[in-house]
This record gives sequence, structure tokens and C-alpha cells, in this order.
Amino acid sequence: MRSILEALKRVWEDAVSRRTAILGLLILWPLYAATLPAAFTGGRIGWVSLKMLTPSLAVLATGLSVFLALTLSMMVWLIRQGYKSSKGTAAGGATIALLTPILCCSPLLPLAIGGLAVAFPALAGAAAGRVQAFIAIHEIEILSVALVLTAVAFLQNARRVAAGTHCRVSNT
Amino acid sequence: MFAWVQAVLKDLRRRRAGLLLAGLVAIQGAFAAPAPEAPDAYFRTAEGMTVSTAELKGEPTLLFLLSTWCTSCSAGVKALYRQADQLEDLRLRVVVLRNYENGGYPGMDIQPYVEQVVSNFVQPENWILGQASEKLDQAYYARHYPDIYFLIDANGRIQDVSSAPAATMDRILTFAIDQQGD
Repeated sequence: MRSILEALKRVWEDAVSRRTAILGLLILWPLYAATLPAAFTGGRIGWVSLKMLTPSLAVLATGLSVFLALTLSMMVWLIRQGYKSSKGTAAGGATIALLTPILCCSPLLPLAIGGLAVAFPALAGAAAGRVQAFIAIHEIEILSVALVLTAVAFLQNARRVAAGTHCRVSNT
Repeated sequence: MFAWVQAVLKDLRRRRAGLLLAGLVAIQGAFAAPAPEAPDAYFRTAEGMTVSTAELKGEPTLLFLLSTWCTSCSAGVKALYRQADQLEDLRLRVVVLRNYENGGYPGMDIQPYVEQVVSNFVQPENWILGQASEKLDQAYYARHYPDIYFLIDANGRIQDVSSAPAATMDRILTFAIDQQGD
């Protein structure tokens, strides 16, 4: 916990990383707030989906955008300091959270599977329905996994920021 | 020589104008083409009656095909029920059918599903709940969308196709109001 606070403090002191966090939050919160309710709108994203934001989805959008914005700012800090950052987990969480509400009830998946069925006829039929039903029924669990992944990405990068400052070798 | 070039250019302009006109007529023709007729297929109502879509002629109808596992379908049923009084006043018949085999994934029957989605559900007079037959599924649901609705006029012609009534209620109300004028 102390290392996380130390990492956050360290990142906040850097103007570029601080701006990245603020900008990231300003972009990511509206993005997730509009995308997560897309399951209610058949994949339509915008004001129409934003109007359907429920309190639980708002909490989820806030959690995802805060973790991702902080992770991004830590990545910027690590890169600027010449360290490696952890990107895969954050990208996975961000993508899962964006795709889940869109894939569940929109024509996207049936069209994609229909297109693939031209090359692979075995895919034709109700395969899209099964996948969409699975996503729709387990949507909360899938979105929770996405939130956990972004939290893990945040922790991984926070640890690197904290370790980075301890391991820095002074040139003087 | 100059006169020949002028004649060729004039001919080209005339041809281009002719092509443009033909294109415009074709486009107008395409847009003015009558709306497709709603395919005739049967469904079974929640009360166990077999009804043909041909019997829906005479009143404008919203034919909503849904899967009970689909989130936007549940939001759509709720949104339709919220507008039930207005839709009844506009004399739009609402037919809510569960897709054949529930869109490829098992789920509850249409009546308990609607009662679960809409608390204190009292079926409006202009509503029909039912189960789509395989033939209806093939005729209306060929692309396997879990959530799709058809706006069919009193003459049995499909005037519009869309999805997610919760997000497209304006479209439904506009259709219902337009049908009043016709």
C-alpha cells in the first residue's frame, strides 16, 4: 500500500504524467460511460446509450477509467525514466470492457460469424446466438474480470514505479 | 475540324446529361419502389393459438422478435410497456415474439419472461405475446439478430426494420403517427 502511494506521489510530481492522468480520465470516463450501457441499445453508442447509464455501470465506468488513466500516467512516467512498463494486462482489460457491451446484443457478431461462415460453413447457424447469449448472461462477470485486469495493470506499474525510484543509480 | 470537335463535345454533354437523368430516375425508382410485403408465416400466441402474420393486416403492427437472454430485448420490452398507453392510442398493434429456439440458447417462455422483465405487467389489449415458428424465424430472422423489429403498415408492407426499441422509440412513434395520417 505504501509503495502504491509512493508511486502515485512520484508520478503526480511529474507534470507530463500528471497531465496524462487528467487527460486520460477526461477521455476514458465518457468513453466507458457511453459504451457500457450499449448492451441496452443494441450496440448504439452516444447520447442514446449515455442516457441509459445505471448507477452500477457508472461505478464500473469510474473504476475502469480511474485505473486506466493512472496506469497510463505511470506508463508515461516509466518510459520517460527509461524503464519498461507493463502494457498487456491494461490493454486486455480495456478491450474486454469496450467489446463486451457491443458484442452482446448488436448485429456485429452475427454479421462477423456470417462472413466467416462463407469460408467455414460449420460456423453457420446459431453459433452467434450461443456466443452472444453467453456474453449477455455473464456480462457482469466479464466486466468484473476487465476491472480486475485494469486493477492488476495499475498495481504492476505502481510496483515498477516504486521499484524504479529505489533502484535508480545516481550519476553524481 | 473545329465544328467537328464542337459537335462531339455537344454529343458528349448530351450523353452525360442523359446518363445523369437515367441515374436520377433509377435512384428515384429505387427509393419510390413499394416497401416489401411482410412474409406470411405463423406463430403461436402465449394462449396457445396459431396465428398467421397475414392476419395482422388491417392495422399497423410492430413485430418484435427477441431472445430472452438479450439485454437490449429486455430494455426494449420495458420501453414499449412504458409507452403502451400512447401506442394503444395511436392504434399500433404490438406483437412480441420469442425467437425460434430462443436465438440458439435456451431460456424461459415469452409470458413469464415479460412478467419478469416488467413488474406488475398487465397485458395491453393491443399486445400479442407469442413464440415464432421455424418458418417465421427463417422468413424474418435470417441474419440471426437476437433483437430485431419490423414496422408493418396496415397493408402488410414492411416500412422499417430496426432493433433495440429502448434506443429507437422515436422511430416507432413516428411510424405510428404517420400511419394515423395514412
